[in-house]
Amino acid sequence: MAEKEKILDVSFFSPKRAHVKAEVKAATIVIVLWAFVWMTTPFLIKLTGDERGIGPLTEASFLGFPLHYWLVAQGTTIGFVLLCGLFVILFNKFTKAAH
Amino acid sequence: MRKFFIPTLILALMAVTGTALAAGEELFELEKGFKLVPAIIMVAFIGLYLTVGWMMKVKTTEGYWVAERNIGSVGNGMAIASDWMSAASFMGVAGLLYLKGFFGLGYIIGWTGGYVLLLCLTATQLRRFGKFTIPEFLGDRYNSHGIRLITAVVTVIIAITYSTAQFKGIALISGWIFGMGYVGSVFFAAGIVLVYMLMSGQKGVTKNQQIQYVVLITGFLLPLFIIFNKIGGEIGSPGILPQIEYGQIITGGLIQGQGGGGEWAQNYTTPWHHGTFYQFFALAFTLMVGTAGLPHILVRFYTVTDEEVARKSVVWGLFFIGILYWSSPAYAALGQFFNPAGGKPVADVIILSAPERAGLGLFFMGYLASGALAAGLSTVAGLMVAGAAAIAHDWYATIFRPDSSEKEKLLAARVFTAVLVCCVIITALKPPALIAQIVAMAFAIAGSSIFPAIVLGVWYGKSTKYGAMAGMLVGLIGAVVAMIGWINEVPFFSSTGIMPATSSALILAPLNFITNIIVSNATAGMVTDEDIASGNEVIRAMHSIKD
Repeated sequence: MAEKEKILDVSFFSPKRAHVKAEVKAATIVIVLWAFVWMTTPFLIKLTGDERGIGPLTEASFLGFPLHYWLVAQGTTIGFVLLCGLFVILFNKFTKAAH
Repeated sequence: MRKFFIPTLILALMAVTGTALAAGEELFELEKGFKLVPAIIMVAFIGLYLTVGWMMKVKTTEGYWVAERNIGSVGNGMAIASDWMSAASFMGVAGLLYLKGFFGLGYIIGWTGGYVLLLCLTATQLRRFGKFTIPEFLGDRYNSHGIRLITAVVTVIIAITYSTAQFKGIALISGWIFGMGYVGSVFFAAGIVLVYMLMSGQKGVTKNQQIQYVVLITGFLLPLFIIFNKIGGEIGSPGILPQIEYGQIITGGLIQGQGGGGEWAQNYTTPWHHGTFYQFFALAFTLMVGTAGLPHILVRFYTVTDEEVARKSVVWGLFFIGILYWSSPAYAALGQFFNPAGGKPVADVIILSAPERAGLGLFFMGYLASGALAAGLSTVAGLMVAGAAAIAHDWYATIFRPDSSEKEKLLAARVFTAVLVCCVIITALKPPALIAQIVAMAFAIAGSSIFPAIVLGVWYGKSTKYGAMAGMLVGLIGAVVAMIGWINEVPFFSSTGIMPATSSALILAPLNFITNIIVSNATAGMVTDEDIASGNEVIRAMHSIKD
């Protein structure tokens, strides 16, 4: 090995090998959904509410909770569990297709 | 300043609420004195853990560190959940919701969402690498003893900070049962942890964590169902499923007459009443990247059979964790219903205070307390294993004495576990903040220093040891400065500041990423053949690259 070994060109944003591409695809989909799941409610409160956050989301009610509260307290966590399940399914599906 | 602020606030609350003035001191506190039934239940459970720990006694270092790698997905899910659900989840979250309402939900988002990141970005790859510890992973990936050392130091700082909160929780619980003072309770807690840890190592810890999950989740849920069943009529709901019925309480109509009803309701109905959008966002973000960078959680993926199981166990783990977080706001609501004027002194023990006031009865109170103890113990055990491994395995056995025998390594592991417990006793005697806040600080450190190094280590081939080290130092120093700033009440680092110690990773994690990438590219010519070979070997294993 006289020649200097090259660093392996692994990168999340430009994966080269088929199975790595498949894994990255599953991860990208789930991470985008992840950001959507937890950021939507705070941003909506920020955009539609007054400076204390009071607005349509806080005035609406769901199961006896203020809607904004329910969405964050329970909706987000339920979403996260489902996303983890989705990742396992997508990962298996995409990597199988890649082989 | 804060020293005066809190008593003033309590006085103001008492003045506003007529009932509080009339009832006096005891409205805030738990009942004092020795309680026989809870004591018997608690001692029985400790006996059980010790027996299991003793039966699973380990003889090899592989058993001590990674439980012989034969844990299945539901089992590992339970172990993740019980590693995870510490005194902070069990006691602290309910306490913060009790004090801060909607803002407290930032903790719930943060402590669940991180698992999605962890699963997508690192769980599979870390399992494929599959050695013992996180310092070992980073050390091998970058071929650098320096990085091994920094990561080991970070792991130890996290273990101490995080365990401080657990010791506070365990001490508050055993103080309530045995009627001891706080200091005595801290030493008592340390005794239990130490005996238990030294006897079993990671395998016993994993088995116990599965038992402890069952104890802590039933200990948490049963009392809640019983109380709601009892008060269903009063709050105008059937009293069957507390998790969706407490809405009636937090909107405030029901506690108007008991003082402070309007104020409590505002905590929930006004989103930015206890913190701005920015603070909420920063907190949730910090806790998420922190979750994905916590050494004692990451190391759980080394203990499973294969990567498929590693992935599935995250789904189970998060589901088990979710069950608790769907329920803890209900305790906070109960606290508001039964003890509306409690304030900060009662926040960390609200899960005991509310049922006590609801007249739950000593048997279930004892069970609840045992659940809290299980939560604290299991997390401390996981943390101490990770912390002691960082010193004994990554420093002593890898750097300092590479030729030490199996027996010496095991001895070193035990000695360092004991040393760590002693450090925690000292910090736990005078904890700097509420349980959940101290834990959040540990997360800020993990998210600012370790998370970016791991993600780039896995997903960016060009990341070099110089880049990783520069990035980690930026994150670590930043987070520690924020923590010191918080303790010394510097406004910039306080809970209303720009970079609170509990939320510093929103700024520091991206800074760490950028530093790592810039320095890595600038130093690309400085890496040696040996660095490249070692890095490539790890990358090949992580991404199962054959060519």
